[in-house]
Amino acid sequence: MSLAGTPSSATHRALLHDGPDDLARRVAPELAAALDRGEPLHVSLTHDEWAVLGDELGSLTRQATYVPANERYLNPGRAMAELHRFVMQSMDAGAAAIWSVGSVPIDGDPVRDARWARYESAVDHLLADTPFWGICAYDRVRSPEAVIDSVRRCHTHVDDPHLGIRPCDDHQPYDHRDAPWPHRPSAPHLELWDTEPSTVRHELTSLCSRVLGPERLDDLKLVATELITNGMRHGDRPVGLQAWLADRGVVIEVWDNGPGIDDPYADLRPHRGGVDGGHGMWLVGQLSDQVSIGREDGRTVVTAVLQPSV
Amino acid sequence: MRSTGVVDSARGLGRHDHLCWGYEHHQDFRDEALVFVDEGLRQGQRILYTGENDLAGLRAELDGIVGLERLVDDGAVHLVPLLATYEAVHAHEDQAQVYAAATRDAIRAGYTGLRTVADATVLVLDPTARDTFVRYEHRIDRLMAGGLPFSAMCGYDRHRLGDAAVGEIGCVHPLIHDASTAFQVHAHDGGATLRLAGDVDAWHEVAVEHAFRRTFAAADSGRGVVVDCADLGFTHHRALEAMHRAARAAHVQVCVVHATPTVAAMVDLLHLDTLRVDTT
Repeated sequence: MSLAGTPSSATHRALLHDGPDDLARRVAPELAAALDRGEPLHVSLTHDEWAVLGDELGSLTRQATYVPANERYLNPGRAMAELHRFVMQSMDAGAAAIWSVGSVPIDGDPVRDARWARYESAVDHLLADTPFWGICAYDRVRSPEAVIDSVRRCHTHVDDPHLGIRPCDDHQPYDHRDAPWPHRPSAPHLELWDTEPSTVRHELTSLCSRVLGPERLDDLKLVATELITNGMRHGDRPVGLQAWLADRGVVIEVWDNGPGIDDPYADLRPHRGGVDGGHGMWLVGQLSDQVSIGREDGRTVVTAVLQPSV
Repeated sequence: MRSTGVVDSARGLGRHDHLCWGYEHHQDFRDEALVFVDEGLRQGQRILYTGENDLAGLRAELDGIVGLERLVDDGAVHLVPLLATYEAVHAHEDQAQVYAAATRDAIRAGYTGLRTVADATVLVLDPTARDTFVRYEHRIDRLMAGGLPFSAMCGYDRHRLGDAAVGEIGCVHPLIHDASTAFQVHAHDGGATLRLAGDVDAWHEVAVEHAFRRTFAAADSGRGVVVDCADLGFTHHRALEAMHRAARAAHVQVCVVHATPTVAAMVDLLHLDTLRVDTT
């Protein structure tokens, strides 16, 4: 099956490969054709992957925008901001098709890997109405089975070495309830309900100053304040915060009794311009390593994870 | 070095200090004013004491100052009914220069400076008048921060004004007595810099924008404004957006110094192009 042509809506493909050579062999022809047609291409691969693909593309590589994967995928918020900026600028320039090939960092940690499943769902959601051709490369050998299962659900198509390119039969957006949250079974180290943000910041400082450095602690206080303020303004009381000290940072959950956040990817929806407020969730996404928005037990919950360095 | 922050007493203040004292009961204000006056006299400052009362009433308020009659006769203590002192405030913004001139007069007369106590509640009951008065408060704050040996204790009745109005005025003082404001925007470093201090949450957005608009208005035309965040505990992104809007309205560029990396990140991520964070 070929996907050649100009899409009226986004095509977001997971490409399961067996290493840099396999990846390059399978994507180079259509990327070369796209570049030949003058279509913009954004690349965020590892150094090894890009070295091989670059050889295949030859002089056409000069037309591509390359941001190394380890700089682009610092967190889902930064990664989305970069992709969205590229797509919007390309559309403004009149591009009929916009290409992206990237490989998100999968390291086998189920919590950190889950954030990229949500990111992939958000790409589907936020770029759905754009002429976007996204190719997301996943190494079949190095990616855990759970990751491969999830990428089959959060892309419009899957390119399998044996089966070729097929629409995802089981296309399902990320669900907050499916995320692995290992902190949950244990009691929170801090729990505050209907508490002024200044008090919350004070308590978080006491709890987390040995886990996070001063800069990330400031980020945490901003993230917590933005979430509590949102809960107080748009949700219903009580508004609660729970915090856990985790292996690699701090997890906070902010609860409220409101009807929920309309946009499940509010933290990843790009900055809409203007200076009249309403950018709190976007800042939360930019400064957190991981965010999830959901409904549990009839309440709204936003989970944010902050590690010592973003 | 001027004192800053929240205080529970008017004791121990210096020749350039500027204190806002929101009070529940006038007697509480009067008690602290006596301390402020007494210490000013001990520091060799001339006292200008003003309030709503007539001369006899003002004299009675200072009952307790040893040798008051002689001090008044000698010119060490001036008692001036409020409306006479501030007659010009609503007509023009040069009232601060009146105090500057009075301070120079005091120096020429052999005093170490001028210290004033003013319960200005009646002047700020009206919101429009309050706007003018807050701008004036900042102008005198700049003079004090700039080295003029002039110190002031400003009293405001919380019952008559409400907490929000007292906070609106208090936030441009470097010293505050009560919790009517969580943040301050006051003159600093010779008067050339503004210092943003305290915690600014989302619900302070309107108040902090007012404070920035009023203080930025005093900036020299064509020159930038420096906002020092060394004493800033926390700021919500809405406060930075408010600073940006105020800067745009005043046609000034703001250089933000001593900001945390989180503040710098917000300025960058929100594209607040009137603000420049100096990270050196």
